[in-house]
Amino acid sequence: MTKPSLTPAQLSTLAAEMRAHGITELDLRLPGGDRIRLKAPAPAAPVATAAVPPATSTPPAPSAQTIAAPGPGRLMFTHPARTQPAACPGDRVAPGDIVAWLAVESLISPVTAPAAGTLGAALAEEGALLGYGSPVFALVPEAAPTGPNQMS
Amino acid sequence: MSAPFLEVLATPALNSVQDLGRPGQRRWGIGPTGMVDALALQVGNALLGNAPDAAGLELQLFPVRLRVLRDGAIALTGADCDARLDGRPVPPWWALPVRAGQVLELSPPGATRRDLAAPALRACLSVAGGIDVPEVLGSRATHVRCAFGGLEGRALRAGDVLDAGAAQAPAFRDPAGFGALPPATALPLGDDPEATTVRVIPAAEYPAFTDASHAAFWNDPWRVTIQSDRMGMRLEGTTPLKRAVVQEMRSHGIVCGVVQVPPGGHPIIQLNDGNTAGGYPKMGVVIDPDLWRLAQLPPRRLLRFQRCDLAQARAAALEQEDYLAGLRRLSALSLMTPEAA
Repeated sequence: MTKPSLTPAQLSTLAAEMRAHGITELDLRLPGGDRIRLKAPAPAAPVATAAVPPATSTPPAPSAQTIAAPGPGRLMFTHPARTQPAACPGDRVAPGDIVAWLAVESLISPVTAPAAGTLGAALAEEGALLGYGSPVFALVPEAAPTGPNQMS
Repeated sequence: MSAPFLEVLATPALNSVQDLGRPGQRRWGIGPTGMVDALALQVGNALLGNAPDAAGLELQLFPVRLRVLRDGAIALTGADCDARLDGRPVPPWWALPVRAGQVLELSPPGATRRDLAAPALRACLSVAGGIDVPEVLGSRATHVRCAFGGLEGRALRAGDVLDAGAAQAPAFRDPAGFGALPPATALPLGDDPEATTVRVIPAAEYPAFTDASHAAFWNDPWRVTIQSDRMGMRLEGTTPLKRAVVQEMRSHGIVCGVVQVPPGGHPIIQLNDGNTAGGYPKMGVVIDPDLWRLAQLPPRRLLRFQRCDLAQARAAALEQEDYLAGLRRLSALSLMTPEAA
């Protein structure tokens, strides 16, 4: 006995809504445990403006990645109860560190660093309305996992 | 089914278990007590999917250190105490999962970070399922003066172990947790950045005061003195409030938020642990939806009174209820039900 999942009509409505609102990826968890992921074909011009100049001095040059919005919301680098941003370009971050927030109505979600590294430039403006996967910060990951408390 | 959830490792005096208070007992001389910032508790409970009146910890003095004894979830609301969970920062107005063995540390508001957007005084710690202590006269609130309710009728101390009511903690879609837009942002009031503004309905003896007193009451900023606690706050102004004709008054029932004027002319606002009766003339009453603003006002800060009527007070209460309803609805989307987790 499985609960009814989404009907083809509902799926196509969702796909149309995604196209209409420029949503590229949708991850739905339905009551009953079903999970549905819808992904739009990659756009011709990817968002990655990757303005990282070819680094000549650092030999292994770890590939830059981005910290992306985990969902839709209005971007806040500074928590509304504070006056200083959560993180700034150049800050070292650990996986799971909160680097910004997204507000939807009265709820605030965290934007977290996916890996250890150094924050690069902010890739969106304070107050911007972001969608799932929108880049928030550039992140230069740490070259290699170093041992605990190892000096480099 | 409740089980030990938190152990108090360190706390100064005056921190206690509180809920939304103990209404309906005033005729016995028993005041409401309860969380002074009741909105902070309701926000914490909304984030965790708790009942709105689930008990939490009111933290007024710091530093506070607590050890988590069992996997679960907490929410920190009210004053921004630069909280750390095993050293990792927890944002203000935030709910997050916790694991057995983790240690939560809270610092005095503004002591460890200088970037608080507004003054703050009292923090609220909510736990999934609520702090479970026996109900006394229908409430879990600690009545410290009468030594009943809460945990053995007293403030918290090191070594205390607090039970939480949730059999199963909610699961978070993001282990970093999520939070609420602070009430100061969602429900802004007043245009003086140097002062907190609260709305007041004039009370019975208002007409007895002089015109100069009326003008000073509404137009002057009032400074909170250090003689302020859970019982009430004493204010200081440049123009003492005086009645045109001074008449002795019999003691009568008073409520939380009442602005009384003792003979010296410097007003007192009664709070949650305040008296149930008093004989001072009353200038007005701070409306219920603005009591949380008083709760977060530290000594030496300024307070302004904004005149309002019953209809405006009701509108303010509805606005606050909308904010909480929105939080409950949106939090449910950020939490997975235990079945789906």
